[in-house]
Amino acid sequence: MKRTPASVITLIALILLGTAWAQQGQVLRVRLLGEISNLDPAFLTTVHDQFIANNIYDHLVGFDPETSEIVGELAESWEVSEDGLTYTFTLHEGVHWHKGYGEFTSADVRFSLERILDPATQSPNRTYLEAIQSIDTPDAYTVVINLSEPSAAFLANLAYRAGWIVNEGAITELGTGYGTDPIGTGPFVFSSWQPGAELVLTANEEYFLGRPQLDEVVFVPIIDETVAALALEAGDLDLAYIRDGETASQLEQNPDLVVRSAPATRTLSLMLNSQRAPFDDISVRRAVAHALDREQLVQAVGGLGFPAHAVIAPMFFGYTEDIATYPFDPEKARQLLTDAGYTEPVEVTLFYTQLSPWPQLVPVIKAQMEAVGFQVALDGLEHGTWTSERRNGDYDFTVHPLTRPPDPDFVFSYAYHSEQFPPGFNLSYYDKSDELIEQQARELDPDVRRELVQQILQQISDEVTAVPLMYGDATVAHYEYVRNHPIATNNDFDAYPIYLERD
Amino acid sequence: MQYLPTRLLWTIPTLLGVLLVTFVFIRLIPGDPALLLLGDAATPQAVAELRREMGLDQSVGVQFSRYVGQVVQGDFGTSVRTRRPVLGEILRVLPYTLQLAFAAVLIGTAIGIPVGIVAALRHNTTLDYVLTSVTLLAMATPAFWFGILLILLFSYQLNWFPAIGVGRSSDPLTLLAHLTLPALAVGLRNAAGLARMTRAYVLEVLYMDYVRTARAKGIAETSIVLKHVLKNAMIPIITFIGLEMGILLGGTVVTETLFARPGLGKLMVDAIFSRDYAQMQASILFWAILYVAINLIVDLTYALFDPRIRYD
Repeated sequence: MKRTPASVITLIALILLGTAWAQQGQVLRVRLLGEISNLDPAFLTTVHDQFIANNIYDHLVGFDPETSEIVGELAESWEVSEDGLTYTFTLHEGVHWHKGYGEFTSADVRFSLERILDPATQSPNRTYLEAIQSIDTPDAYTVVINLSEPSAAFLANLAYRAGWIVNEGAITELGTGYGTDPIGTGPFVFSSWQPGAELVLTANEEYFLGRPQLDEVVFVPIIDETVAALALEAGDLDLAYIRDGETASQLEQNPDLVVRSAPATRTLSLMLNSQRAPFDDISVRRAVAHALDREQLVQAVGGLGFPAHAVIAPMFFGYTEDIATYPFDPEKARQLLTDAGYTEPVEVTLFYTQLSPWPQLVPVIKAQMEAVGFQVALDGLEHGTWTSERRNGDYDFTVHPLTRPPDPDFVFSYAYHSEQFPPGFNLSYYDKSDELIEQQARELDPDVRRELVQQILQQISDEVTAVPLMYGDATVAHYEYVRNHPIATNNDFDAYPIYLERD
Repeated sequence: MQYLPTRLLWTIPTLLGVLLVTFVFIRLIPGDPALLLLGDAATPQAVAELRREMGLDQSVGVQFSRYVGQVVQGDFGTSVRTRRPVLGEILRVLPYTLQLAFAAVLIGTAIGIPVGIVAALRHNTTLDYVLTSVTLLAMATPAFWFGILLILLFSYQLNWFPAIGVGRSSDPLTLLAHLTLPALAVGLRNAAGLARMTRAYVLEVLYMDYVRTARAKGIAETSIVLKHVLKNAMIPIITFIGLEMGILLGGTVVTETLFARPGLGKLMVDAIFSRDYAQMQASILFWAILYVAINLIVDLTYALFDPRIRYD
């Protein structure tokens, strides 16, 4: 029992410390929604990694956060040949690598892209660069990329995970350690990482577009929504993305905080298996589309979302509201089932992943469908298990969460082309637009391509194998003194424009 | 000193058994690491390719013999998520796990044993009933809820301690400040369990003949309780503390998640969700090694309390 006094004294001493932990200066503390795995673009696969990496690296080209258009990053300008097979990029001069790794040149671009393409690297992000046939570097500030066939989404692919440019010297030196000690050209320099606790970036004094106004960005992984809200309100965080509607509205009550939302590049849909009964019958599929009250589904996730009628979100190239939609109409849904000859409730099983927000949505979907004459059984699995079980295609209908950069090819080619039938991600066995999908992927004239994309959206909507439910939402809560933060709609958090204005 | 070498030798089959069981069971969990790594955009060809590279296309027997061969050489493999050696990941989180486990056991012991003794000495009085109710309530409180209450009070309302993170190793005071709330969250629940245990065992010893004899000899009550009663009740209590310690080394994932702390438990759970086989195996094996070591230490401490137990 000798320990007792000692530990009591320690406790009292700690309490007396009365730690305020107030941070001074331009230091931004940001919530991270999950644990970081790897910050090497060749092996980076999670949105949490992407959230941070966006501040360390630059692409050749990126998405404009407002318009989703392709804009230059490390590339000052670029030209596309007539046949769409050759892209010539002119690079910014005077760009320096972090931590004294020298000047950025065309050789770095070539190395970065070829590294991911090299099968020996075993990069899971190789698919994004597969259109590339060869890369030439005529001089230090010119990169010529030759494609094997024209690709409308090529620049969009370069603007994604696989397109971040890395430093050859650092990769050679650090090996697998590069993923936790990354070297980039971006506005912030990697400083330290305590797994599970915090990751610190510091301002890149030499950033080619000018030093950022923040001195330091600290990322803290907090998975629990309640704790994130408490930490924000206690001042342990300055900014937090929120996934739960109830938490968001609670934070709105705090006069010191600003809560803002924007549609994210995420679509949640139901996928009806068109290869087996009863969803091989288009009337039954239409009945589902009319049975669902999307407003109520959005409410079920606390209002964090927007009702959806297309399989791509509004910021995607070619999005249109000018397609057939299926408004909430239970009467019509019931009629469709009766006309199709169903007198008994139609028995179906919904196969879903327990990844958020599906457990909140699924009971509502079940209730809405049962109200019009379905009998819905539920079969929910842990996400990892669902991911491998769905490959068998052995389900009546299932759920489809899709987060992609805002180019429709990422959605069409992965989820609506017959080449991607299960085990691929075309979970509804949709095969009516193969030719148009291939055509839009090659079409370089934006007007013609927009036309094609809209035709595809119309066809997908007509067939109703996919029933779009809602677009995801990016909701951020931050203190009023955090200024100029563009909402990260594609998990591409950007700390560069942010500054703090405390009274 | 025959005892120690024999005990240590016996840990080898134990750990081999752990290795085999985890290896097989991990592969029985549905879900494919290659698929989870590649994500939704994965083409079936890419998945098949990655499975081959990861050696998952081989039979479990071949995979196991290959694995044991590597482990014997000290190579526990590489994490599919981080591409780094799994042993490094474990060593990286271990200090935080040890800090939390020791602090929690310290708090548990410092509070649990005195409370248990008091409850036993005053058994069936109002004080005993109050203590019993409080300890039962504490034991029945879910860890995450208790943790949130602590954050609400000490971090949000009073702003005494930070709610999240672990502090910086360069400044031990920040480490302590960050440790306090999670250690209380785990430690107070532990104290409750220990108090119940202590009460029961002290009560049992309290009416033994030798205690009555000691009283009859006129020995002071404090001395009776500490030297005669507690010392004899100590063996089950030490066993309990050892078991708790073992559980805490890998089982505080809820607390770790809540307070944004790294730790062995969280490492294991993250590995399970991404089907990171190498990381799961090594973490579980490591936990088993710690568990075995603690059991050994507990066994050795028995001799301190009961002179009849000797290890030679």
